[in-house]
Amino acid sequence: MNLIGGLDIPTEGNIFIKGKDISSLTRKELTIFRRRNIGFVFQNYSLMPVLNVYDNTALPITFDRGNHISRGYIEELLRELGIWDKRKKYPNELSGGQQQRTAIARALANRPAILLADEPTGNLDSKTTVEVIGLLKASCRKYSQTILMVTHNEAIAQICDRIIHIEDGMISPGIRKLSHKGGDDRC
Amino acid sequence: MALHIILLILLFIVIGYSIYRKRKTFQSINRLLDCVLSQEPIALSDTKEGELSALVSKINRIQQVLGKQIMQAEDEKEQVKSLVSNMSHQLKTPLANLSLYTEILSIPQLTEEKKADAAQKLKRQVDKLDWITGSLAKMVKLEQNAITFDIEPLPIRGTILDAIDTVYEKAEKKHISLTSEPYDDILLYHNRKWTAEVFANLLENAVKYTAPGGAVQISIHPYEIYTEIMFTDNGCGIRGEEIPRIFQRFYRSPETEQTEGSGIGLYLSNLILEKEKVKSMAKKNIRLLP
Repeated sequence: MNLIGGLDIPTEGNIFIKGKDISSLTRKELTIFRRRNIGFVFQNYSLMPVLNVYDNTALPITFDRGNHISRGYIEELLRELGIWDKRKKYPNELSGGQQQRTAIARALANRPAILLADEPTGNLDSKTTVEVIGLLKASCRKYSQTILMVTHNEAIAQICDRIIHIEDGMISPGIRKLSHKGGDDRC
Repeated sequence: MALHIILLILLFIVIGYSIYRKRKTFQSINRLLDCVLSQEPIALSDTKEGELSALVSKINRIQQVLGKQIMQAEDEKEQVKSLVSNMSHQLKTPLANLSLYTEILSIPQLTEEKKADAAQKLKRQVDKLDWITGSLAKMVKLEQNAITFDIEPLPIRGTILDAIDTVYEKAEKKHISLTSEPYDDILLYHNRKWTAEVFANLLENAVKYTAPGGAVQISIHPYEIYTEIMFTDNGCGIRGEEIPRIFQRFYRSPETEQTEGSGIGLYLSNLILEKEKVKSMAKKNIRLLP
């Protein structure tokens, strides 16, 4: 996931996103590409402890000097994730689940083309998990996003359009799944 | 006095420059949007700092989304074309049989026995035609979202029993045992009539493609965010490479040429289940109900 997100450089081989070889970009270009097109949800949330929930969510947008903050969308996101009333609180005042939801809101705030999520529902109870997965699916369809999720939870994996199994660092031939009318296995 | 004039000139220069910049920005945005209209790739870089590059990045994305939608629309057009040709193909055989049997019936020296036989075969063909056109109509309506049916939390046992009722006779005839593991009757979000139809379709397939004397089993496993309903049979099975295609409209495996079927059943079932937000999987026919 770090490689796709441009956080790490591959020792061998190339990575192509939308037909562009991102290993050929300079570090500065890579940073800007990542900022504009990719959203991250880290397993350890990586929230800024000095900012409250609202500011944490809006952070990636403020970095891009060409962008303005869409307040309505952020409010909508925070409400959907159920943390709107905690928007003025700081990360150390929140529970694990609330911090995780803040991280998810932050990743979605810029409506990125690709969302990389590492166990995004690991700390959430089953009811919230259903809501978060529902939100991710809806956002994915509405904004034509691609969500790449790493999870150990088989149940969540079943909800996805496509599953790739990785064992011991190698991709194992998994079951191709389908979700569209007519059994189209294109996303 | 001279100072005032200099300041005034500076002011005009600044204003003139801002107007010039604004014009240039407008022109570059205009050119970008033209690229989108004419479906041309945009030459500007989207990985530079600044407003123009950010706009380029976003407009690139819009271009891609539009391109994708155009592709999807073309695909749907092709699907409709193939649907129409498939439909006429499906109807051809029963219609040919119909005209054959009516011809037989019009032979004056026909024995009563032969007449009754032909009449019965005639009725079967009419039933088949009826079923095909009915399913096709359902399929089209579901695809167009013209049918809405109520989805409520209902006990699943009644629905499963409904389905078993429909299929029991056929299973008995082939001496195929139809059993289900004991399960608690749970409330699941579904529509009883339509879901029963889906289950009946799955059971019918299981019975159809299992040799006489075989077994079909139904089992239910509740998980935390969904419930899994599994239909297993020990019949001829589905080849790995075919699994993604079995839910396609009119798809019939080449191995089933000897068995009767129209290829609509699974497709229709999948449409109905999708409406109920249910995921279907085939390894041995698994249905997931939220």
